[in-house]
Amino acid sequence: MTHFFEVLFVALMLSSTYVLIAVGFTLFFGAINIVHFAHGDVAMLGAFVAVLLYSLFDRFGITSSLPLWIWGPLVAAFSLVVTGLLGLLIEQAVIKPFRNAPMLITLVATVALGIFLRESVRLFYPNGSNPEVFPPLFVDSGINIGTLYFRLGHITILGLSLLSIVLMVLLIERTRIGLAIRAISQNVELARLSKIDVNRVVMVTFLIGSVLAGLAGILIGSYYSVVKFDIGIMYGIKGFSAAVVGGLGHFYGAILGGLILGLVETFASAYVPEGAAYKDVFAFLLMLIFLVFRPSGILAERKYEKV
Amino acid sequence: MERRSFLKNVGVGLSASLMTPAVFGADRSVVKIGFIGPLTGPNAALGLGARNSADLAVRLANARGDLPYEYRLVVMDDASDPSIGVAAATKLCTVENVAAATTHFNSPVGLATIHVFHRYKTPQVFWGGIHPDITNKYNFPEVTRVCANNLVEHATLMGFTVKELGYKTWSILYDTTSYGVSCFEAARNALEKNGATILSEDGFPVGTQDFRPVLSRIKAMSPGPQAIYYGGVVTEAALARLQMSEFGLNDRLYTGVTGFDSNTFNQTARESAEGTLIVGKKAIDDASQFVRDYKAAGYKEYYDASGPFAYDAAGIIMAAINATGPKDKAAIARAIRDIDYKGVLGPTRFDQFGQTRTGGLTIKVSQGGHWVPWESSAYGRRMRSLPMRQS
Repeated sequence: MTHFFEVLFVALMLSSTYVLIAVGFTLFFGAINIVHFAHGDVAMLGAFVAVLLYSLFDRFGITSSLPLWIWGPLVAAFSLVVTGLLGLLIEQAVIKPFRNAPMLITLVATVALGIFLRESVRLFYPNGSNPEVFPPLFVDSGINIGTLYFRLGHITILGLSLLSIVLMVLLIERTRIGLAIRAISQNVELARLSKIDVNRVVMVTFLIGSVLAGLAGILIGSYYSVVKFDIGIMYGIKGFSAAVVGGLGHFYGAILGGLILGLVETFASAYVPEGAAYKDVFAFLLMLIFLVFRPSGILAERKYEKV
Repeated sequence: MERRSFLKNVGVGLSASLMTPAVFGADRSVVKIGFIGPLTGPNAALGLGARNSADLAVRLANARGDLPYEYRLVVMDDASDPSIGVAAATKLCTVENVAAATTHFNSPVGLATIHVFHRYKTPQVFWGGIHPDITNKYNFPEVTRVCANNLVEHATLMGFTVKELGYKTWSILYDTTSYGVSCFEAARNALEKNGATILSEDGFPVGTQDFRPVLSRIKAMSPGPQAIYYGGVVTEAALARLQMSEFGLNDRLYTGVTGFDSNTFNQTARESAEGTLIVGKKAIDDASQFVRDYKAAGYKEYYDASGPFAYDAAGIIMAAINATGPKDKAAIARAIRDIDYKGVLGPTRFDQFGQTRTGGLTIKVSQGGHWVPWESSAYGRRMRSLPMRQS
């Protein structure tokens, strides 16, 4: 039983990474019908921004003069702000110019952007091709609950992920900006006629999506202790797959898709003989099954043109 | 810049001898020899140390002034990627037209490039890469290797851990590259030969970050393994070790071979690395001439585990060319295979497959953030004990 709960915890950690990235995919698709293929790379940038900020804090003696529980969350918070602003910049520089262009153009532009971001980190970050040790940003002592053993740092980042998902739900369901996002997601022309500033709402969508991706990057770094310039490729594809499985454009679908994908991958590794070698095969087989038999995903209600 | 700092650092005696080729250099024809290794990517620390060591061999040879040729090292990066390695090998053999080259840390890269060097009849001496097929499968006359292959590495590791230390029950983790699979097969054979029992075998796609689901299953086994073996390279090996600590698996021996004989393992796994035991590349004494020359040359990067192998590989190539001349590559290849070379690794001679008969190995243990030879470690001297040691 201990093994089952340990695997479940690992699955929840992986799932929350996928959910945080999938929510971005689904928000962008819902708002302006685009698939932002550089979104996984934004998560990678979030992790590298945190590493850079840590180096700065370290250089100015902040890490030695303040306790970890103060400077760690500060590094994380600043990283999220920077990643959010980078997301805004991406929207203005790469997405907005193609707003009225065919969907394929935006798709190609975001693929190119992803390559640009990855290669920039590889070439301009010192030893950018090498794995970078991620600094511990949260107090990380061990906790025993019965026969189970957890790291406080892991519980903290899982809690932060869950909290941010709950906040997202509240934002979408209970606030004016959430209403506006839902409105343009359902009918952009009608939303425009209702005096909703579509440009502003799209910007907010990118800000939120990129902050969540940044959080995913920090989660990846904190949980695995190492980040690399190309981690965004696989996390981006998995996040997109999660959004597709749940129903691209459907907020709750992204959460459900991320959860399912993380659970399938982790439990296949733990319980299927030789399963660890085939975990990616299981994950993408699941996506293929959905694409063939239920292309609109588990929860999607709206219809869309296939890419 | 490097040249200048080298001259500045080597001291008066060596500086004086360095001046000699500058005087006679104009009379000597320049011979290019190649180097390929991972200068970027997850194994860059090893690759850079090897590059610097090959460079040191060339500089010191040129500085002697009594050799018939002046050597120039042409350096290429393979980034641990077979396709990049093939492109680099092709460029060395065609555009650069090197007389011979010393190459690769990663077996999958080497398995791809042996065909390139064979096609262009250019001698290739491996300073790393332990897959047996590199030398044994095709037995290309151009290909030789100065380090032990993984059959020897695993026979040494399992002989020591099972017979000497008494670890009888094992779990195997490996990456699913050709290198990882060949390590897995060699480990399984060596364990069975030594009478050990394998309780689990799990492969992972290369680049896997999460070993926890499988480690949790291993932890839940009853009775569980006394030792966990990882067949793969340094980053994943360190991540698996870190995650073993998380699951309270510090009470098992963690072990592997030269794939993670790099300080990167200790830096990434941090305090979790303590007590990890490997069969590593031959440890070189800090007081040796090689280490003193390396330090004097002022290289930024540590020579790392593969440095002495690249140093001797470059030395072997130059010794062969000195004897045969640079034009006839088949003659250079024959001279390399027949060589009886005394270098920093001790004597090197090759068997009928071009595999070294003597390639040095050292049992090492991670202690205080560094790989320490077993005999001189606190573990070897029984001041500290390895987990679950049976004898």
